[in-house]
Amino acid sequence: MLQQNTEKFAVPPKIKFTCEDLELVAETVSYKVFEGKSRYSNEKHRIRILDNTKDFVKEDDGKVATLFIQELFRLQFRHPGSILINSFEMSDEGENGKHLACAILPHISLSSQLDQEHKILDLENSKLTEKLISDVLYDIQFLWKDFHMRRIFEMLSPENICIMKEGGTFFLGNWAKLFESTVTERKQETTSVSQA
Amino acid sequence: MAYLVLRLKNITHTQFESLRGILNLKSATYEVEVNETLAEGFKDCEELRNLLEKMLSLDSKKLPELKEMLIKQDEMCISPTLNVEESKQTQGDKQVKSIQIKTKKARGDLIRLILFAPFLLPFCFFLIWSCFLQFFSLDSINQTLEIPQSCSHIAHTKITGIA
Repeated sequence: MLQQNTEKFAVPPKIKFTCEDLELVAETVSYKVFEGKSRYSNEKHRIRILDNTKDFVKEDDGKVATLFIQELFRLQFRHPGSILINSFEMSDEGENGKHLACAILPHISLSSQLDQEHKILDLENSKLTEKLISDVLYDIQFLWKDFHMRRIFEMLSPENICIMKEGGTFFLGNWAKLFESTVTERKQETTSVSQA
Repeated sequence: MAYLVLRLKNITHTQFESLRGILNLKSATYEVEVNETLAEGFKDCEELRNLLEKMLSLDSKKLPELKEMLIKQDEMCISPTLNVEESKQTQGDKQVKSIQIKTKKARGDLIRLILFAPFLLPFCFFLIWSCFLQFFSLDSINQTLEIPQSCSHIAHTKITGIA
């Protein structure tokens, strides 16, 4: 099933060439996350690929692509070395406009930790919980101050919070969700005005 | 944020939300409920429990300041993340390994020094001796270059002739 998803989805050429065994592990409003193995080092990476097939991305591809890159910048700032810069790719190939992709060091979403079988985080450790609160608040503070984004708390769900396996930094992902909610709000406002 | 922490620890928090929805609710009733729930879920960590109590408080004056919730960036790098025991063990292993590597290096250096000492000492003597010889030989060359005054005019002609 997952492989079928990968086959349908257009993977940019460089990533296709350098990584193998791509497997879909997560999906956000604007991008898909695959797990893949480097053909050279055999190391496992997470590969983020902007999903051009989504209507939301198609409608405002410039803004969504910007957020995609800004999210990567922020992650690299918070956890230096987490982004494999050489793997970043922007290509014009394919039907749905530009392709953006980048490999990231392995990380897991907190939603996977709700499942007892896949639990690897020791959430009984109070230091870890304090770190979770602190790390996520740093990202909220950043989005609030620098991006003037509001209603960030709506996206505080385990699906949107991840932890780097190496170093253990928590970070807030899926920023486009905030943008999506404001776009839908504006649409609703305009439709209500036009109806009136 | 506090709800997220509770959810991750499998602590139900729906009762807080329903209590918050009740109009003219006595804050004491709500606080008792919060305290009881947190006391069960966070038995061993008083600090975190107090923080969560503040975060869940109805009274805006009791809400924690941002400073209280943020850990300094420097400390964040050191603090444990994944399984504590595992990380402690790996840290311990790393320290032991680094000490072992250092002692191995030191041992290797010592062995190399002992092995090469018989060759190094004569070599040093040879160097000193050659320097000493060179110094005196230069001096002797200078002496030989000193042309006696009697033959100076012959030498002069010879030298100019060569030139």
